[in-house]
Amino acid sequence: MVARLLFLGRLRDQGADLEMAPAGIETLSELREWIAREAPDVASVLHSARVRVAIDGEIVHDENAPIAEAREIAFLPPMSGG
Amino acid sequence: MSVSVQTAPFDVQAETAAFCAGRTDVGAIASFLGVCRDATAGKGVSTLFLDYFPGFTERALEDIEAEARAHVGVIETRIVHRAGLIHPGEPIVIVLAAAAHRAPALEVVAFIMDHLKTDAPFWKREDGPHGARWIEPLPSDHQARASWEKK
Repeated sequence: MVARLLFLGRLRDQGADLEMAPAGIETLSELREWIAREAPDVASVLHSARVRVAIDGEIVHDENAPIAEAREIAFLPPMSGG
Repeated sequence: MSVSVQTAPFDVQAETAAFCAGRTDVGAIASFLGVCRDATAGKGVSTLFLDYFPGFTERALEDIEAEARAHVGVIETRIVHRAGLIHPGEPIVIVLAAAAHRAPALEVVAFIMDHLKTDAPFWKREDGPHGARWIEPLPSDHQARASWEKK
């Protein structure tokens, strides 16, 4: 399964060209390495401690989190609130 | 208890009427309406773009509502929140609460709004004649949210 990548808020503009995770990526850490090769500027922004990651709608903190079966991986910058 | 996040405009009168309809168990219905303000103060029109995370945002609002419903005396609540492109003058959010008495109804509306301002997964962008700017909560919003911790 290949996961859709979703960039929220101000990350939308920066991550616009990255729509799907490539096949063969097993963990969040490997995904970050792939993003760093494809779009180094985006990768550095995503590495901020203030950007959270959600796999299929659940926030994860573990860089070894498995993503091979994920449908969607979202990157969330600090929220503006309602 | 109910939450809606929608890109379509909502009808304030219709939402309020639906919330009030047929209730004989309440003595108080309180509400708050957040409206889009023109941030350019007359120097050009701004619009607001509210990004959200479908599914995730609704669950976060439901968590806020669940916490609000734990307040003693609250019978029912409803939150309707816009997302997408919003123009000055348009409603952004409505919060409704029903209780037997006015104090819990008013308090829970304030509770929900103070938590929405900091904990709701929205990302706001103001678009105006000077370009686009993503917005973060004000220190006063965080203080309002934190004040509930002491109560």
